Amino acid sequence: MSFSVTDKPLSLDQAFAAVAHPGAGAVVLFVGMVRDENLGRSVVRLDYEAYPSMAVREMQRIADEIEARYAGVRLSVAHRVGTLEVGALAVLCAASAPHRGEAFAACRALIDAVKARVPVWKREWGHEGPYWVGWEDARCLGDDHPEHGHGAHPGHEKASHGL
Amino acid sequence: MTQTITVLLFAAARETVGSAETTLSLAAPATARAVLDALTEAHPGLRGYHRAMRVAINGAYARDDDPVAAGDEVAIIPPVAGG
Repeated sequence: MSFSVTDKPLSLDQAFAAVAHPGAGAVVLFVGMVRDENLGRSVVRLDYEAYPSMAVREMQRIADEIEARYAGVRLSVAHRVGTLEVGALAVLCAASAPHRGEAFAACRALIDAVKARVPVWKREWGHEGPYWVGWEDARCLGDDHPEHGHGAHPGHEKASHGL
Repeated sequence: MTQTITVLLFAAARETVGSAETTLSLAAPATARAVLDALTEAHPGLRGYHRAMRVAINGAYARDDDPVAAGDEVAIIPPVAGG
């Protein structure tokens, strides 16, 4: 069992060793890497930032939940922070279990929960400049301070004027 | 009676505010929801993102009505994007 946030390169050997043991007949490793595009935008590098103390605790909480669901699994997560170039290892998840079915299922549940819950953020750098992933998409999502309505002339009426 | 709460900021929220932490004056007893309301009131650049941000208290996600006390470690969590 090992849960960490680090600015050092991630080690596949360490991830494996963190979960391998004599009762484990299967180990599944998931490696998340920096890709050269996202949603049609080219990506040159990513800046990863974390809230390290909470990130490690949230990883532990996720692992506790998964271990309660799949008997005999052991889990580890290591997430990188700092500036990463395309091809760099961003996250390593490992799951061991007596048999492969539980190991695959636990590793899949682990990375899905890590991506959804652990406080880590990434800023893309590409041809369109820096971009915090997920931030603009979240704008006005159920906003409590809507600024809709600009009087009697909705915006679409403007389109009928001119030209 | 008011209490002063220090709030940690990360990623896009940190850049919008221009600092990694900020202090808020909240009526006591305060809640996680009150932290978000006061933060977006103080920093209009965050207003459109009010419902996108979550509050963490002492390293765990908080619900809207969870209490915030002096001495708690309070953080604003923008939409996460690890992996």
